[in-house]
Amino acid sequence: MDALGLRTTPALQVESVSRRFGPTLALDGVDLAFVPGRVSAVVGANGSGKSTLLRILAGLLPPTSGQVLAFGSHPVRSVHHALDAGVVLVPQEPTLAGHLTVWQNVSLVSPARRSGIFLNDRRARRFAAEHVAGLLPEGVLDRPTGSLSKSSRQLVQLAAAMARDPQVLLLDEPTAVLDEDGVVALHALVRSFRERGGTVLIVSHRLKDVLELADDVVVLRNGRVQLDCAVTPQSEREIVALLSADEGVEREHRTGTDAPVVLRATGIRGWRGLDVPELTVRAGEIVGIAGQSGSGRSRLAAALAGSHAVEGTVEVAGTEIRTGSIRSARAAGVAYVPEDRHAAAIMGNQSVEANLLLGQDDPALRTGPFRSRRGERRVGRELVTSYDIRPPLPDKQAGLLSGGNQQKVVVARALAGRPQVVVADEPTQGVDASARAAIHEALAAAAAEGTAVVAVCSEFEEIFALADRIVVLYDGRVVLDRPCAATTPDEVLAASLGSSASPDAPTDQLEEVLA
Amino acid sequence: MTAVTAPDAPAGPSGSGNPVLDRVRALPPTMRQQTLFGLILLAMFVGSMPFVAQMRDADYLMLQLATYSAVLVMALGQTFVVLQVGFDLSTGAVQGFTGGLVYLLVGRGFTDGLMIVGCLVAATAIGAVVHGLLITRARMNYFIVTLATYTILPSLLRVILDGASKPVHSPALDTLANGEVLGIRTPIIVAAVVFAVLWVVLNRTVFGRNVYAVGSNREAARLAGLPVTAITMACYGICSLCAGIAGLLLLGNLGAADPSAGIGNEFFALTAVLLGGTRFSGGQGSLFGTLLGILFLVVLANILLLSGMPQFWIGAVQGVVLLVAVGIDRARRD
Amino acid sequence: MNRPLLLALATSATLAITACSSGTTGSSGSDAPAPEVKAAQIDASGPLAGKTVTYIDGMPGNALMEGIAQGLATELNAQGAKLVDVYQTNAQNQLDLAVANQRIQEAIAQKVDAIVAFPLDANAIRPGVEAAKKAGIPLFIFQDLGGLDVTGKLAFPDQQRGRDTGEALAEIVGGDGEATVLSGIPTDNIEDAVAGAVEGLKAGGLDVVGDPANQRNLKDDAPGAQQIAQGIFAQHPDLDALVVYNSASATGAIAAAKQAGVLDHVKIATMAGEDANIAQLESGELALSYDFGGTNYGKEMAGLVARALKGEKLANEVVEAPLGEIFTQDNVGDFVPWPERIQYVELPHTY
Repeated sequence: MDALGLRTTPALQVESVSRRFGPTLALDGVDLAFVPGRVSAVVGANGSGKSTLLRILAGLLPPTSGQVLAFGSHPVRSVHHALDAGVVLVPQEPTLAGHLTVWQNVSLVSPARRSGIFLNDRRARRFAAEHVAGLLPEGVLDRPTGSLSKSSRQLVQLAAAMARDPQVLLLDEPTAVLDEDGVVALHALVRSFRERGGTVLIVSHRLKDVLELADDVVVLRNGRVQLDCAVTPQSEREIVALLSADEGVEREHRTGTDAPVVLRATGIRGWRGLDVPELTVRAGEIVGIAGQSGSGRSRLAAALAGSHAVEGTVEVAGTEIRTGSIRSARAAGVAYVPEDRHAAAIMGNQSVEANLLLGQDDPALRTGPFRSRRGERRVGRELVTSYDIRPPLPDKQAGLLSGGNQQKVVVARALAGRPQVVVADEPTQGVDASARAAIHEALAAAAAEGTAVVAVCSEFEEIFALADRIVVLYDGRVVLDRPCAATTPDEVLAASLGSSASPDAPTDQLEEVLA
Repeated sequence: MTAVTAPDAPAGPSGSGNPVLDRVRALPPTMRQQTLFGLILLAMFVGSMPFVAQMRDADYLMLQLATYSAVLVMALGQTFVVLQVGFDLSTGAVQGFTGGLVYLLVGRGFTDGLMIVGCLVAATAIGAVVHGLLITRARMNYFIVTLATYTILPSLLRVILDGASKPVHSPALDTLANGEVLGIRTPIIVAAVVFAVLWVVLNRTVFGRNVYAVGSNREAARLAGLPVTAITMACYGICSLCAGIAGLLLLGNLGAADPSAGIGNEFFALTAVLLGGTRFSGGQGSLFGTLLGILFLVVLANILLLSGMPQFWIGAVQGVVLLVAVGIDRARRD
Repeated sequence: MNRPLLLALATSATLAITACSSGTTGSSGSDAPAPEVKAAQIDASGPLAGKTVTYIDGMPGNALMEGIAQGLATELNAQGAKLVDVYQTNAQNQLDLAVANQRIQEAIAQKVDAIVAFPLDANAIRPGVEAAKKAGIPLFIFQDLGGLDVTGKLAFPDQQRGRDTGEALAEIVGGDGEATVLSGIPTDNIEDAVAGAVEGLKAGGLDVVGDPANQRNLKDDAPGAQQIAQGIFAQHPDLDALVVYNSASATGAIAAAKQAGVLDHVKIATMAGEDANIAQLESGELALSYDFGGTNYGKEMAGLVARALKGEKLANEVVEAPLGEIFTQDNVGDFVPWPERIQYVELPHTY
């Protein structure tokens, strides 16, 4: 760290920490110190060891060798040690009790909820309200946490972490599931926490977070510290050089083609207010679906892919599919990349090959009811190579791959059958820049071969980079449907917030959104 | 820049210098575990030979294999259900109930062939239709559904048998359970055939691959277009069919339909399945592991019993062994 | 979602109905036709006319229990008393130690004239015994259980039964060779019978090998006995005689002997034979079956109850139950099934 840091006691001191998973060395002799009153960002590609480092700092994972000291004297050996020293982790995926209300979750471990041995609900609720203020509207306090959107749940998680009165806040990919409002609220919270002398550690692969918020930055690569310095214009360039992977050339937007319509959805209604009278996608077209979380963008994707029954009809090249029947949609040539990779796409304890072949009906893979092992190996190897899945070992357990590579597996599986339509819900959520580029490239290549692509993205910049046309949903309805070339990020943001006119002061937010 | 995204490139030395150990490490985890388990089994077997005379007696060993063939068949079927995430509590009950069906059908003058087919069809229907539909379509918990069958079938069996053990004479089942072919007892051959058929089904057919997929991530399998419901129903059907075969073996063996037959065997079979490395969380495990699990339990029970361990203690030892085996597995994974 | 549910329920219902409907007819398929069961005929002119006796039975479907209850009923009905037969089973239809007291309380509330109980456990039934005494209702129990202060007890000759079985089997084997006993769950009856059998085998000139205390069929069913018997045959390849403690264990032991190929050599005897064992005796798989004569136990108990109801003052009166009969290949032709020895009747299970 900088010279200043050496004079104060570091909030967290990492002393030659290594961590091994089987044959893989995830962290290799890492030495770091995080000083109070500063925001540090830990960045690196997927699999660089940043998540491992964070889990060790939070006491969730013991290091194979080395140690972590909190405030110079308290070794962090377990979650309890970490919490006692005021080190609180906000995980990437919300881990809240879904059936409890928001205030109950926020005040869950706080002494405020008790008077003696009795629960004091009124005090606990007031306490929770204080911590939720500024993050979420007060109206959500009494709602069951499970009924909130993923973004709101993440903010509840943040409020619950702040309710522990932390000294050190560890944020794991804090913006991955946040919508635009949430990002603004998060930034405000982090800044005010820093003013009060708190230490913040952000693990992210988004350069944006680093450059906007962080005072210091640590770049990890293959489990080693590659760079550890303050954020200055000079260091920014260095970081960018280290991290800006082949971000992918912006795709040229196609407009006004006369290619045949492949996907036609009419009169889609139901399922919590989804109402889309018509949506068409032409062969070779990439349609980006935008909207705030809860706008119905994922519901629309699931309805198109046949995963959830709705009113209305979905036709693929003239064949009507039964909504709510994945198998009917598959038969008609629709492939689906679901939003939640862990819950709905990756088979963590199966091999990469098994994951790639899941649901494929390539005749090379079978002879009657029997598997063709030779065909399976060949197709598996081909997919691993052509989608650049690393490590290139088809037999490796998929759960051991980094998130970006897992997502590549999911996309490869969807595209392998040369579908007529691909519905991809957040195809690049939580993946690093190079995997994102690879996935964009794969979707674009599929479109170039005539596949109609529907991609749901929560980040508008991604849609502008990927799609030909953009469809914005608000409250279950289409509020904007225009070629990308004929619209602007301002307009998309405004539409997604429910206003046809420009919002009052869009520029502030847009700077953050499109940094 | 590509180097940044290659975190799994060999990082640091991991070899121990011992070529055998290195080769074992290179095996896939399940196979590694089974190799280890197989070695422990072999060590126990060989180690007990000098002390327990019966362990050197080929006839006795074959007799033991024949006796446990029925429960092995049952455990093989159970493996399918556990692989796709679930547990069929009713296998023992189905085993006993099949005996009751045989008694009924023989009493009504069915020929042996028809009787066997009838029993197996009925057993399969219990699993595929009753369990399968209630679990998949009525969305009832598998534990509750099979617990219900576990209570219903023994009760029906008592009704059929009037509560008492009834002698049943069936030449076909007698041969099936007590015969010998080329010096090998027929139950062993039956179990071997079942093993071979199920092995092919699980490892060499598309259906088998799908069973693993459904067990590993049911939602992913559904979204990838697999017929998840049909796969689950088929697994419960296979499980009950195996329990039915086990029931025929048991009946042929005893020459009588017993009102309490089979009960308790489901847990013995499940213990073997879990010892064999099949995980309750689904998607991981193998039939070979189940076979090793049964062999292990049989060798252990024989060593304990024949070496004069007080009988009351044997269950405790088996339970502790299960905990240790699963505990080691758990620790190695973390 | 409804259609599959219905289909599943329909399939289970079909299976159930097939099973049940043929249950009653099916039994006639392979067994000798059972005699018609009639409604109980109470002789209203008997000396005990108008009296009601409650019998706290074990559970339905057990031949010994059934025989005792029928013997009891035959004798009491003949003298004019009504017998109500209630079971010690709980809501799950399982034997339950705690239920006996409840049944005694119910009988007291019904103001019955006498209670007969088959105690499952001496300690568990004690509160019921006290309650009956307080209510002044005579209470009788099967088995001579120590520490229970009742009106009368029918002692089971368990040790003698075992001894007779052992001696008779020793004689069949020829008074020379190795023998052992396959035991069961350690209850007083079984322990006494096993001890008697060991005595009898020794008295008959055989060497008792193995340890019966470690050769228990804890599952109490045929497959359980088969596994234990396999161990016995493996450990004692020269075994000549095997006594088992109950009927199902004989079935299991025979299956094990068949498998081990020693059925020709080992003579198997059961200390508690049932009808199923007679078929085994006829086919030569079983050498000896000790027939309790459960109906006689019931009759003997009925005599004791009648004495008390006729005014005799009894306290802890112990009566020995009659000895049973031994059946071997020689006299198996004389065997008469229990339901043919006396007229089995439909027993009322409610007051």
